[in-house]
Amino acid sequence: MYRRVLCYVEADETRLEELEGLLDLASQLQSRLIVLAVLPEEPEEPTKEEKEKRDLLEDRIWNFLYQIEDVAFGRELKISLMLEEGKPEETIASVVKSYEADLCVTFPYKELDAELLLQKLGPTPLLIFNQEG
Amino acid sequence: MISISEAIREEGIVLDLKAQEKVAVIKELVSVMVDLGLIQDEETFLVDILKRENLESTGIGLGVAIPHARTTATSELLLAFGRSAKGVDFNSLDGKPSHLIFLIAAPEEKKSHYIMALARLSKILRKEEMRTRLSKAATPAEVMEILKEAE
Repeated sequence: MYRRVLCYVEADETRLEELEGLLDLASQLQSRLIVLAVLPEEPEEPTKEEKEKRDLLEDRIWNFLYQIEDVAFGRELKISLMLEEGKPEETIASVVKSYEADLCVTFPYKELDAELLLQKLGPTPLLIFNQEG
Repeated sequence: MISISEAIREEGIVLDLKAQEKVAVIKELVSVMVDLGLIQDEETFLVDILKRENLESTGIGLGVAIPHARTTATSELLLAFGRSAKGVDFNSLDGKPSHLIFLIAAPEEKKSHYIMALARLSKILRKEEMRTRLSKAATPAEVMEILKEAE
């Protein structure tokens, strides 16, 4: 039923342990997990400081994504990683549509507008894990 | 700190891959590493890398694939690079063929180095300018220079 599950993560706001529930779910559903992180859009004329900050953020995001991948591999889960740029709600909805995900999963992040995301997702169900998974 | 350009050698760069299919491309790059004396056990490494390949889409899109594995077949972080003008189907989510293929091998116990190398390489290859330069590089030395600059 849920062939592809898209999970949106914020690297700085998530601990690897918090993903256990998600990995259990993907395992039970035998779904392919698409783990998505989103980088904010780059300002048109970024300062050196903004560039460095963004550079470090991208490092942390990729590190986090590959840590998730490594854990998922240990559980023999099918997984793909994605890093996109933009506004999270729009980007998540766009990736869900483009890659035909049947379910969208995320966590209660402060910066994520869940209501807006629900609107943008349309018929695709949204599951928000609590911090304990 | 992990350095991509230090983990790859000019002899580990194949600018015109002969193979045209995913498993054959991986075998071609593995054999380059074996010829360099960098892999102690070719069969084990192939099993490790293909096991991961069967579960994951290491085609990360944008014409790039990064097949990778932690393995007992090596004692150091290693990279090989292959380029395919025609492109190879790595089951990328975006459905596009991969033209730039980086193979990464790391010892089982060096998980953090392995993850850092994957992260660093992914970051470099997300930049269109880097992909274009790697696609146009005329020699392995030029590829090395591009990777050094990117770091």
